[in-house]
Amino acid sequence: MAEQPLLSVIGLDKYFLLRRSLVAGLMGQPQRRVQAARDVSFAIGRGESFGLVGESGCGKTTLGRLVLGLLSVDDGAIRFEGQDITKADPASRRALRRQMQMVFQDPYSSLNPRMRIGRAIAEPLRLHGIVPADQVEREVARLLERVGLPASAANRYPSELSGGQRQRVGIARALSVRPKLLVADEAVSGLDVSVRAQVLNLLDDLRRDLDLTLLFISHDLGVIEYLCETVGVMYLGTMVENGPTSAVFAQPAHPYTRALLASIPRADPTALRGDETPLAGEPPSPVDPPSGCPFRTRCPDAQAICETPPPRVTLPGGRWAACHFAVETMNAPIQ
Amino acid sequence: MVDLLDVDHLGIGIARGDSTVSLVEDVSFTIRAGESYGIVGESGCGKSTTIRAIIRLLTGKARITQGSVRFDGVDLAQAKESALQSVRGAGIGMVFQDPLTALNPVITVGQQIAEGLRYHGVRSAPERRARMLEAMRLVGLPDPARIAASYPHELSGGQRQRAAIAIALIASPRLLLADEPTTALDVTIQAQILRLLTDLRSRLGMALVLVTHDLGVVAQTCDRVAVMYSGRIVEEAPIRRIFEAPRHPYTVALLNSIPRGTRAGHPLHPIAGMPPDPAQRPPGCSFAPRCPNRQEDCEVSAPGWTQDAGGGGFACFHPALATAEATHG
Amino acid sequence: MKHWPRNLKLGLGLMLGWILVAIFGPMLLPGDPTTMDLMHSLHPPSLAFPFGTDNLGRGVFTRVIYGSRIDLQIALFCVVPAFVIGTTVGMAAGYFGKLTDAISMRLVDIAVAFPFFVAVIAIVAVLGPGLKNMYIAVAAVGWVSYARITRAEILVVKQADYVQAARLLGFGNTRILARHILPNVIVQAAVYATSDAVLDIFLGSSLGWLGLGAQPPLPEWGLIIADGYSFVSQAPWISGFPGLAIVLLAISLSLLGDGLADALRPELGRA
Repeated sequence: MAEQPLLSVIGLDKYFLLRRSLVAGLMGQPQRRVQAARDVSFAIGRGESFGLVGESGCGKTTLGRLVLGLLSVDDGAIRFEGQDITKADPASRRALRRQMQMVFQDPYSSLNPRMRIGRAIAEPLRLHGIVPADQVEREVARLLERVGLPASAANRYPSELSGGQRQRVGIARALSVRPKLLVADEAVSGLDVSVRAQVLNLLDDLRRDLDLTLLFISHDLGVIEYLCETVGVMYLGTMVENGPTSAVFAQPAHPYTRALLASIPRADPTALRGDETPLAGEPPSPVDPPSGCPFRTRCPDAQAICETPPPRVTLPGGRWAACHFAVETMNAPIQ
Repeated sequence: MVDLLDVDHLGIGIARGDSTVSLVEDVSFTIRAGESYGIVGESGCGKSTTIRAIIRLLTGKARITQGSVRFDGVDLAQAKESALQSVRGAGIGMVFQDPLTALNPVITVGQQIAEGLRYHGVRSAPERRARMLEAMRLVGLPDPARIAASYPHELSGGQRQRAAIAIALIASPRLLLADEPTTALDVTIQAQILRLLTDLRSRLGMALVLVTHDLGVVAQTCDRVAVMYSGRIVEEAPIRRIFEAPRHPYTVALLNSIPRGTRAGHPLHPIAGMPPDPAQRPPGCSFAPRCPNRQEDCEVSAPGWTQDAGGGGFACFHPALATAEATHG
Repeated sequence: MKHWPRNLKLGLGLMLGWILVAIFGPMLLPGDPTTMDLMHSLHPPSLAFPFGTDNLGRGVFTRVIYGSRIDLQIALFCVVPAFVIGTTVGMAAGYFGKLTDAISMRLVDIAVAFPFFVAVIAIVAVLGPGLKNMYIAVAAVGWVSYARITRAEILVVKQADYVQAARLLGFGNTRILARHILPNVIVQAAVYATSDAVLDIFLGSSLGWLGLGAQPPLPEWGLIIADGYSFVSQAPWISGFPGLAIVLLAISLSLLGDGLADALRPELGRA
């Protein structure tokens, strides 16, 4: 990308310390820790939609929260419009943060149950003086209509709305502060199929119309393919593959991406059933990850060399994969 | 093939104040021995309520209000609790969505799996243990002896669901009911569990009723499928027919709501609005307010069942054309 | 709200009744609760003396009505300071965590190390008997429960997505605490306060009975019961009616608490 990316994450590390009893500490037992993000790097261009995909515990949610500043970074940099957020002073960090907003997974817990919808959306408008005080009401109505809700929804409490409607309110509230980046963490996972499609289209329309950049975190590859131009695949705290979604999904260069794609139950009964053996085993504990390639314990193609850390192999079309055999994997035929 | 289970005009209601709100209305289907039957629908459509009613595991104040559930000629809807107990386990097994809450946290996994054998006449403890370990191997639990001595919280989500399946299978049921068995699991683990269910079915000759919201899961696992909306079955057909030539507009809409590629290539056409509150269903067809094919008669009376040639049927006055091309894609 | 739970309506109605009795009762009654009239001592209930009279000829009805002022005051002055101190400490501990949490939770540990009644009695014994010292003692010990309840609630609510969202929208700590956290955690403490008030009324009466709380000739209900204690076989009405009043006030508060819990729960739930 010639233009400077809106967001770039460089070599990000994040640990969570595990609880250690006082006695264990005094006995000199080492503090155990979980590495939730290990040397993660990626960039998102202005107006792009970036999909972060992986299974539970892979660190995708942590990554989203690190970007938003809801969690502190242990090492590495997060640049937003060229400015490193992790090193910014508190005041400018707060200003930067406001340009990044989040859409949450659980539409039931993302709204204050004791606040009417209108007040919840008006609050940031008033506090930051985004519109003059006498226009707040009109702006609330405009935001609600923008996300496909009637302006009258302002008088409702969250408990009076359905999951899909609440998710729309959450989006309207996020939009109120005119963010540049929207981080959506499993934002459609809690919704029914038909409602999910509504929210997906809404997010995509908003991105185009408002020139938003989208970081879309999901376990659902179908949703990522539908919505995101670029994808980053996470496994056990590391990003194993990154590139344009269409290319990655057509020719995955990392065996994990390949296995993930093979695991999706396709809504097509004519697709051959069970021809590819499902990925065996389960992800190892992040407290004690395997040496070298984190995926090697489940990888069907693992070899001795995989015990050494895999290189980040640059591939044509602006892609890369962290695998010793990235080129071979990419060129292997798919059933 | 023989009909193993025959659900006939089943109605389920829940008392709310002085009136009864009907959760499931007029649901009929049959399961043949050894077949795999899917029930799909969105939350609140009554799919879980229906499957739970089969072995009378309705929660709260929900009651069967009409119809029958014949298993092996016995009407389970009317059966005494003692008769039900012998059917549960040996006749019909059940697997739930959340394996963590389906397992007792203070009893070892092995004991929970073996427990079912006590109620089905296996008196010798060594035999129970042998069959328990065999069941654990069957569901693909690694190192059965060690896992048998573990407690549920010591297992991963996938292992827990395997253990729950072992519990359901221990007394060799002829029908396995699975209520969203993979919804709480990761995709790669989901693929393993679905594969396991399919393998077990063919190896044990057991029939499977799979309730899910995921059309992909149904497509990969089931021979026939019923689509439920607002408490009723709106369409039923062999699996390929549902995907290739859906007739009910709701089925069409549901298929159009699953992402199958990029937005540019395959744009989603979501269904506007929401399903009705079961207490306030519209007088005619429940789907009419959201239906693109709606006409005046839809709002007057609920459409009856139309049998179609391929061994399925649908409940709609103005169905989609029967050609594959005319639908989604 | 149109659909208030029945127990809330009943509880509110009864409490309103008590407040009206406490405010207007003494104004409407002709007699005085402390004037002795030895001519009419130990009269059983009659038209002139609905609850009878005590050994000093004071109308028990008059005394119970005047006593409602004192006992309602006990409930209020015992609960409010403990509530305010406790929720503030609990909020600070739960929200800011770390050192604030460590210090306040150690304070809580110290306070709960002594049984509630023993601690209150000990403090009153040191400060001297009387209602004011009782209020001080209850505040010094009673805040602990509120702090614990509030802290536990905050730890949950703090993680809620709407609080994270508020942080992302750039709201300050004060605003997040006051507008987004407090209204969602105060309910539990408020419900607890109603049952705490019942306990405090019993405490006030017990201390009155022991001579450590309200001092004679104040018509505090516990004191009246203590006065009638010696005459319980001859004149059961002296202790009986104030005892009934305590029970009735306790029931009113309990109903209010249950109703409050019921009324506020559905809003938290998932529709």
